[in-house]
Amino acid sequence: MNRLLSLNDLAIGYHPAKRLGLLASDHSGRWRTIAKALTLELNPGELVCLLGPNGSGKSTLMRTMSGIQPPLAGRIEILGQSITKMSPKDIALNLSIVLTDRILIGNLSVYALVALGRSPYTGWMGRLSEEDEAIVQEAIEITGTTDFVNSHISDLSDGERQKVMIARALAQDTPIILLDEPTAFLDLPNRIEIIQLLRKLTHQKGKSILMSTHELDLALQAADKIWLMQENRSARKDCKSKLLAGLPEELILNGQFEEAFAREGFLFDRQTGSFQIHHQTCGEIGLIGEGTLAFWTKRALERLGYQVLQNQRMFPRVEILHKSGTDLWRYISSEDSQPQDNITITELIVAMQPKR
Amino acid sequence: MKISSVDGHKPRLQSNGNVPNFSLIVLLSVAVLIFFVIDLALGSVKIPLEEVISILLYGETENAAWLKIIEFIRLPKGFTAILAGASLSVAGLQMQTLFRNPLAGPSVLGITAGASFGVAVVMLASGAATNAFAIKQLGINGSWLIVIASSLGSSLVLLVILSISMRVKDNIVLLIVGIMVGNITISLISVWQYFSAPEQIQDYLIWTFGSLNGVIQDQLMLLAIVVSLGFLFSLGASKSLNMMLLGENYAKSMGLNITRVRLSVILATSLLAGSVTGFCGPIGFIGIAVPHITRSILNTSDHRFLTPSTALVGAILMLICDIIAQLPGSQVTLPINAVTAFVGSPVVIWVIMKNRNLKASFS
Repeated sequence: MNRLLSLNDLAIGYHPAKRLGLLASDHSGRWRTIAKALTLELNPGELVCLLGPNGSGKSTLMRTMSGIQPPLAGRIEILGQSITKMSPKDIALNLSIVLTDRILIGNLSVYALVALGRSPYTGWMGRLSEEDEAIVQEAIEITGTTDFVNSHISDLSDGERQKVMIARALAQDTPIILLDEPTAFLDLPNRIEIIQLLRKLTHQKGKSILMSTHELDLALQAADKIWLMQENRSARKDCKSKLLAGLPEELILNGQFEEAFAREGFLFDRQTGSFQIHHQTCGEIGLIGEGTLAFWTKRALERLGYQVLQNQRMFPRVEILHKSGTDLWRYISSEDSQPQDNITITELIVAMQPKR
Repeated sequence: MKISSVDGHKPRLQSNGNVPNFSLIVLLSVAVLIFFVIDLALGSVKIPLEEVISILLYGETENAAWLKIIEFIRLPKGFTAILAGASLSVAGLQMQTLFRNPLAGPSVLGITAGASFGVAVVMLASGAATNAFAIKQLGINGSWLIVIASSLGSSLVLLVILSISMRVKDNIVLLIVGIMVGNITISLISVWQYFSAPEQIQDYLIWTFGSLNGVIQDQLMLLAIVVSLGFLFSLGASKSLNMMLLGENYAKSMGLNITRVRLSVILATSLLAGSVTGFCGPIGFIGIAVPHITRSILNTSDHRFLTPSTALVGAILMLICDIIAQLPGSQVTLPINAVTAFVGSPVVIWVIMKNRNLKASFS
């Protein structure tokens, strides 16, 4: 079997007697068991995204899987060996993590922090060998943190710091990497860069990566598999959340995805795999036109609160005109009214503003 | 850590400027030596520097009284200052990293309070016949009694805290528990004092002022051995403490056995702070301040450099405090505890204002 990490009938949550030091994660005190009967696995060369609403237990699952927090029941196995029987060092050689903990230590350089990732390999004084140095250097280059390698960690932006923490996990050089919201502080180009990096690590180096994220569309594009945590709505409320695993497409098509994030006020669009902010509709409107212009015109109209019916010659309607290379629009409010011709999109939006 | 061999294409990655750190340690050692000699020269009787050096190197001088003063009073006192400064500072550094709290020091967690408790028990319960200074006059046995009492006292408190720490996952909770246990210990001492004879209280109060003078040659050996042991433990914990900088979760994920680190840090701290407190009384301020000063000077959080440097800076500061406490040229000697705080606090304020990195030192 090439199963790298497997969960067997695992239950996660907080033991009431041990809550003293763990209050931060369990203020309500209502849910001892967050999820149970989890039987899942991570395989080499697989990027798995853990999705779920806030408070559904994603971080708890990751902490439990990495051995930071004890499970309530069941087993976590790395290469067939239970982690409760492994020493912290053995676990550290197989599994590295990126947490949401903010690291704000002064006087610690980026290089020194990434080099700490080599700790499980170094001797009692932590001296780095040539090989260790090379791995640290590679981790820094691969994450694009070379420019601030000599800066202090406290001088970095949140996004830069996040990349450094990923570099540290890479320096630990483990077959399994767990990342808790690694893209949280990053802007879009950096988010895409990080996800591309994680994909490269899984597909080229055969690593097994589990990352939790709120970037649904990116996750749906990049993940080989999705673990979806959602509120347990079954009649027997013996735990807070349940977890569904599957291919991204599978979860969208069978409606699980919508169900997990269902909330008043927005809709999940199965066509595009993204969420739409659902406005009260101002009524239907027709749109004549094609391509990119039509797409963004539709966006604008939907934002204003219209339900857009494409290529319907109805009233009111908007038409896209292509005249001598410039993009212009026409708005006809009713059959007998004068159409507003040759207007720009700005003028169109002003004209279309719903009357309050 | 050595600087990696770098080929022409790759940018030069340097691990936190090691070379200046090493030369800084040499520089600090030289400074310790200089202040040590100055400390020997100054006091109620001023001995010329050349004579001090001649006594140290060749054991001869034109004035026999100077030889006696150096040999029996100032040399032990100077060594005690170095040992006390170094061990209290290293103990403070370890506590600050373990608890990730800039205000931690050997006095929190009730280590100092526990030592005081042990000494109080010996001094206040032993009756008027054997007061503190009588005990110290007994030589090695007497010093054993005080050291054992203070070590037992601090160990007792630490044992309570350790057993609580097994149940408590969070170091901040542990820190607060430590402070509370320390308070309980201090209140016990107060109750004891309330019911004790005034002469006994006086002995105890004099002990709490702190003094570097009480340690005679034989006892110095003992103090040196205990402190060296504690220092070795501290050096051995350097890598673990570096990992702890990222917080317990990360440290654990890198294979660190948190319980073992806690145990070794607490053991090292109680050896260092417990023994020094036993011999010299509860000397405040050094343990909290010196780690901050050292971090600012060295500009690193790497405990492999920070631990020895903190020890050296602590020794220097303690020697300076001792020089000031002698009030050179006068017959008066100030209690060392008052001087450390009075001299050191402005230094800390200055260092922190200048570098503005105290807040950034911990999350």
